[in-house]
Amino acid sequence: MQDMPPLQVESLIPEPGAARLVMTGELDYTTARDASAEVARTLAAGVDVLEFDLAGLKFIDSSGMAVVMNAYTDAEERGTAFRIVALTPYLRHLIEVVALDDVLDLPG
Amino acid sequence: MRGAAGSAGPVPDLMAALLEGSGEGIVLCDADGVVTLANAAAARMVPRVEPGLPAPAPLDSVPPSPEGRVVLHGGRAIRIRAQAVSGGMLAWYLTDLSAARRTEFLLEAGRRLSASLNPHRCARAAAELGADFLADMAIVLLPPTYRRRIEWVRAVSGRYGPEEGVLPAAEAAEVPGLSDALAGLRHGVAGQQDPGGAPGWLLPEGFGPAGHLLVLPMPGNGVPAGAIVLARRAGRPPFDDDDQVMARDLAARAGAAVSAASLFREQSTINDILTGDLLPPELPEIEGMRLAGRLRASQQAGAIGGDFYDVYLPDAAPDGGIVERPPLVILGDVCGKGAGAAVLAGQVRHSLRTLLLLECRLDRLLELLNRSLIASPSPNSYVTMILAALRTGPDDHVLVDLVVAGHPPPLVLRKDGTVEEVAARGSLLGALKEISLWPATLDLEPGEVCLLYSDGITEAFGGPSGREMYGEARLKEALATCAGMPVEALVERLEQLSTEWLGGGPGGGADDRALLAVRAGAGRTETSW
Repeated sequence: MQDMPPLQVESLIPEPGAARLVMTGELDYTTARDASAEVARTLAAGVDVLEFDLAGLKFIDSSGMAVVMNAYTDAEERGTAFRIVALTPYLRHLIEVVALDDVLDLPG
Repeated sequence: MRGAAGSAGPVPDLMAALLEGSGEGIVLCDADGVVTLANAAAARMVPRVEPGLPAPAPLDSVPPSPEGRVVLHGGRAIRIRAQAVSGGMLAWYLTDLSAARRTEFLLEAGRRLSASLNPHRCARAAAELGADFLADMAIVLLPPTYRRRIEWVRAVSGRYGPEEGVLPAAEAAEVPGLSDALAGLRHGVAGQQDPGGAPGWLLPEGFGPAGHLLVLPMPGNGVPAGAIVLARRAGRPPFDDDDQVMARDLAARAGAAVSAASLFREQSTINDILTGDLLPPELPEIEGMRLAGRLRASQQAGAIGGDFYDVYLPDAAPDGGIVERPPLVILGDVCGKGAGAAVLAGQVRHSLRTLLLLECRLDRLLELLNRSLIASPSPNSYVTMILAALRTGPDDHVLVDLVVAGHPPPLVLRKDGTVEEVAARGSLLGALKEISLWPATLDLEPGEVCLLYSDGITEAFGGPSGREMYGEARLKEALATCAGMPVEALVERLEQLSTEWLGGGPGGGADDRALLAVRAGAGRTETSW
């Protein structure tokens, strides 16, 4: 095993006024704090659109789901649009289980 | 090395190095009694030993014998053994008994004080060490409790087993310097106190008057961890410099041990209180059905998980506006791990208990719970859960009213062995102001089972590769093999299969796993199967 950090968060600017966080690895109890900090930093920078690319997530637990939900509620409070632009089939299943598929903006 | 080119001849380098490194003093003299060799340890113990000169006192007074003799020289107790070697030469071997005592003390102190994570046992070990190595009596006093009482442990050399007791903090002030020592301050010269000032309770019965008294603080982890008092009887030698160094060492080590043990005890108590809120209740007998549940807590130390289940029986004598309702079982999972998760799970269970006094509609209960979670100031107050109201129907059927909030829906084991997933779903709690719920009602024939489970079961990583998720499909297959089983055996089997799956995984037992099953019918098994 390479000595990779369990979660990597890359910040991209897909278009002016938008920020895309690309998360790769494991979003769980141990990494949720780092991911939340990155979300908070991005929102504080004052973007119009916050995007999550979660296609590279190998694992997510309830703390990880909390990062997604907090991002959604925090973005809504600031009037920032929030959408998930890519995700794994398993994550889509989880989002359906918690019945957030109607609320979150998911890729078709 | 002090050597001489005498009859012994020059000592080869390697031999010289070996002798020089020995902790035992070695002196060699020729047949005329003139020293030809003395190593560093010998020169330290008997400074006047000099090659080319006659062997000095006390060496000259020790005749050859296998057991040797202990002599007091220059303030040290030295065991000296003389042995005749070839050619009329004589060798002396010297052991510094004071150094040996200190080494033994250090080893013993390390061993005994690290043997326990119980503050009281650490105090006992410290008192015994004091009595064994330093004094005729040693008493360790722990810091005063909030009720201003002081626990003490006293050991007397030569007597088996320490005594223990409790005294009011005010009485500690009677021992000179003890109040300061308990506050972390050392008094007097190196902690020495007037033995005449010692109150009667300090010394054990029949001990006689104290001649020498040391009172030392036991420094803890930022706060004083107590104090130690050492006493020697009148007529015994006073505590010398070495004794005082050892006494301070003992106090420091004992303080560290007691302090670590106290922190550990506090932490364990807090963990017990918190996990107590997560412990599943005894499942009651409910007429017309049987319940069985399993909750396996995470194996990771310090990572109390957030799975829980509970049963709310109807109020025995509903009156004064308390609603009538059927029994309710719930199974849920709060976000995160550790103390935060435990507190949140406790809040949810207690909130629900209160809400149930006034509200019996399941969807309404979840809406109210959701509001209270959103209003909660603590972050990540997310909860997924299932509420299942259990009603008995005609022909021994059980009707299960289900609402599911962000939780994997329950599974049903039918009479013919098929397994269905209940088509109930809904939003998790604590995230959205308005939640959406799609409830369902199940009709269980006698022998049919409704299974509630947490995602720790399906998300268990393990299997042959160690990295594969157990998954819903495997859980359904496993449940299908349980047809006809008593419900207790069913949950035990499902739990075992999931544990076996985890067995190969790297995070073995990393997450909580909860199972709760309801089986329609009163009997343990239905013979009609």
